[in-house]
Amino acid sequence: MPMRVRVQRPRRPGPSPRYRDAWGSRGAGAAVLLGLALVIGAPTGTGARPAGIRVMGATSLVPFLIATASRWHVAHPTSPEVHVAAGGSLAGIYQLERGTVDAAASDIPPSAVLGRAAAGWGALVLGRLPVVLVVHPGVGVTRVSRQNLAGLLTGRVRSWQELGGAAENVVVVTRGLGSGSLWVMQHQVLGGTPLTDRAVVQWSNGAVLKTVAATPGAIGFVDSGFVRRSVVVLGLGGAMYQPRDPARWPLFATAGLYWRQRGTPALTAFVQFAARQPDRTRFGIVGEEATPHEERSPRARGAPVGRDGRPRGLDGWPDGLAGGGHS
Amino acid sequence: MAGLTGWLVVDTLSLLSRVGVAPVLLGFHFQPQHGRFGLLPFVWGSVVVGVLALVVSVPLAVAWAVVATKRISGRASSAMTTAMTALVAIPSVVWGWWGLATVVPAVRGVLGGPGFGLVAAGVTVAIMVVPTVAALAAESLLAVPASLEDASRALGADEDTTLVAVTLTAARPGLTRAVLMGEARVLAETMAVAMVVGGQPVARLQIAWPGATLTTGLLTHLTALPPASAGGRAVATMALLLLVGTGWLARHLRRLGRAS
Amino acid sequence: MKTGRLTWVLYVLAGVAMAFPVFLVASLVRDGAGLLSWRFLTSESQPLAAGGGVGAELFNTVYVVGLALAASVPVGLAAAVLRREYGWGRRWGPSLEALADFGAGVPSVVVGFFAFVLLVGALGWPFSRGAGAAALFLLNLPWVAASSMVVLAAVPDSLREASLALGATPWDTVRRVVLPSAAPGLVGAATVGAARLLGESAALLFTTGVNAAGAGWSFWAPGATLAVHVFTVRTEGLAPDATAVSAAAALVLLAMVVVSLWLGRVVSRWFMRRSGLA
Repeated sequence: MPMRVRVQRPRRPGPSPRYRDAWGSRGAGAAVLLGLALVIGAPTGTGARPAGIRVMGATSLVPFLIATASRWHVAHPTSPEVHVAAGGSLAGIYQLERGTVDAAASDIPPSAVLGRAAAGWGALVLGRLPVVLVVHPGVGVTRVSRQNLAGLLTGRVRSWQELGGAAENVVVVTRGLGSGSLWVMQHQVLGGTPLTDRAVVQWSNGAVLKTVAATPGAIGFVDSGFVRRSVVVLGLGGAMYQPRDPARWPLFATAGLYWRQRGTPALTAFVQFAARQPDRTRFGIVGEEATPHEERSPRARGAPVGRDGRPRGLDGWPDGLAGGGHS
Repeated sequence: MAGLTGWLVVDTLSLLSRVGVAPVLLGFHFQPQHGRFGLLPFVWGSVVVGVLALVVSVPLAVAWAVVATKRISGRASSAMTTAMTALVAIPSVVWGWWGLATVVPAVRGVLGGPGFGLVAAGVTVAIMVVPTVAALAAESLLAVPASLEDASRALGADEDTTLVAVTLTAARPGLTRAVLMGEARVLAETMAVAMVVGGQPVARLQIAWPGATLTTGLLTHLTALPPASAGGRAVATMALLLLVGTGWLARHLRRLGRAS
Repeated sequence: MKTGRLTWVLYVLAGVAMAFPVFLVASLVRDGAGLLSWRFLTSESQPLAAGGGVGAELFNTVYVVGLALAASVPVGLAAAVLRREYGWGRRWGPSLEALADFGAGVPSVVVGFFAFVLLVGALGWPFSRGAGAAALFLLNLPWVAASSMVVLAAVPDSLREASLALGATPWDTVRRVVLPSAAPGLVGAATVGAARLLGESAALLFTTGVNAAGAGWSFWAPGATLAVHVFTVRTEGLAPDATAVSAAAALVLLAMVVVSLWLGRVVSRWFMRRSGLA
């Protein structure tokens, strides 16, 4: 053990207080405080902040929102700007509930996220988002039964050989917590059973698609607008996804734009603008007439409803996660 | 800053008191939708990535530093040291880009599985921090007085012996500091890890399979869970753990800085 | 002298270590160099179609990083001057340095988390260039303060003493003696900070939002930077040329980093020559 010697370092002979010129030190001090105040304070001043429209939510809807926002800026150059951030459906709903954003783009009904009716929320149903199963081209399987799909996603089916395909291990590619397409899988295919914990978790449709395309043996699910030729689309039971007739595909989420209370005139105008966008199918949003309305009964929106008629939250979400902790 | 840290502490304590200490600190799964709030996956992921990065990057970085400062001289030497400092500035997303293109397929080929995982993340960030560690190591090697090495050679020691017995030994505090600096960057790294780690919040021994670290867990969950819920508090706890971890490293580095 | 076995091992390891960055740049060039053109640098990005550029992202990068630097460098430097030259906060002992060091090591994702909660959540800012710049400001401030303190500490006290002995006030001493002789180091520190901010993305993902056309010059317009663009296009870009676009964007980003480091060196040298240090 080496001996430790404490050396008292000579204090730097700083200027003695007597010589401290008031101007220099106070000036610099004032500069620091003023700088901090300016940087944090000035933009916060209500006068400086514009009445922008903040939209957060499903990554599957982001391309549509960006295209719409761009057109909005061109068509209404003097109106408030639209600010879009991704983050997932749950994120959009939660941040809308807190008031962090002005509108949420979601492919999960808000009542199902919050565990109660989103009373007074405005809603614009944009249409259906078919959730399509995609696999790596090398797996050698083009159709699965619902039971086999559940087996693949939960990790019971380990190799494609078990389904008559290639001798390739199954790699499940899934989405993170906030995703609407994961929600569809959990509720419409798995009945609430968790997916295998060996799955690769990606945080957007695009990332799932790219991972499936690049990983031998991979299976994933994406919103239909994101399908590319780099992957093979899987049939489910008797159904096959047809781009020309997407309404017949059984797995789908309902895409919606949600906002709270009345909304500012600008927000209302933007929602109506979004409702008028004719080419939603380009972004994978199909069917249903888009009309703004007020969310009254969750039943009407196709949200899951419990036996007592009350809306069901994401199953088993404990304390607060389904809204209880918001008091 | 203090207010924000205080808020993190309050959230952490309330998570621990509501969910329990053991399920949070020792839980193997983080599945808020199923009522599991284990943070072990993230801690485990950060530890595995940190250790892997250490094991891979230190030999490479020290070799680079030694060759650049002690084995060659003149133009080539100064080019090698300049390269280190310039390469430190390569953004981590760019390394992530490369990790996706190269490391993930390589891990898939060698270890099987999907490729995305803690191993891929560890290797990617290890290679990312090599220039950082090398630059600091070179600095500390240059600070070793040439007279010590001359004395060793005069006593008949060959180059290798001199290097191990004299140069590296004399530079040890500086080398430790270099390694810890690299480790601090690894622990704080987010994007390069997020792009290749696979994002599965589960703690398991098969480190070639998807996992998550504290930084990627924070990134992917920071908007997806409501703040005043158990899930949101778990996110705050991740941030607090990161602050504590990096703060501890910063403290050690300060101590080493004063010693050397 | 005979080359020892260990030395051979070291040569091999050093070669491997240096091969990786070369390999990285080579794969970027292979995938992305073909796209680089004036059109790429000025045109809008395309979410779905091929042929997108990085015009808006390039502009946002300069805007957001420039704003963050313009705010954080003077404030951080002033804090360091007050601490080291005027002895402010002496009563707290070394804790101010410790705080700055600690702050400089905080992971950027945590800074982004704070910025999101504080600015977007509590203060109601939109996802914007302003929010992104504020996040980068918070990220860079401790770094500038910490590294400026180190640089100022390296200025020999004899210079200060000489100046004070000649009757200069402390402010004169700071202005005419300490800052000029510390300038090359300070510029170097600011440059490294700039390079770090250019490549930052974790702190920006939830503060700058996603770009939309027609954003103009506004502080409050959404402003995803090049680094964020590289990340999003690489991981989820659906345009057929997404790999090439992300590689080309990464090359542009690298070029910006290199140019800023080079500029820093030039300015630093200029200061050195002016003060007769080189």
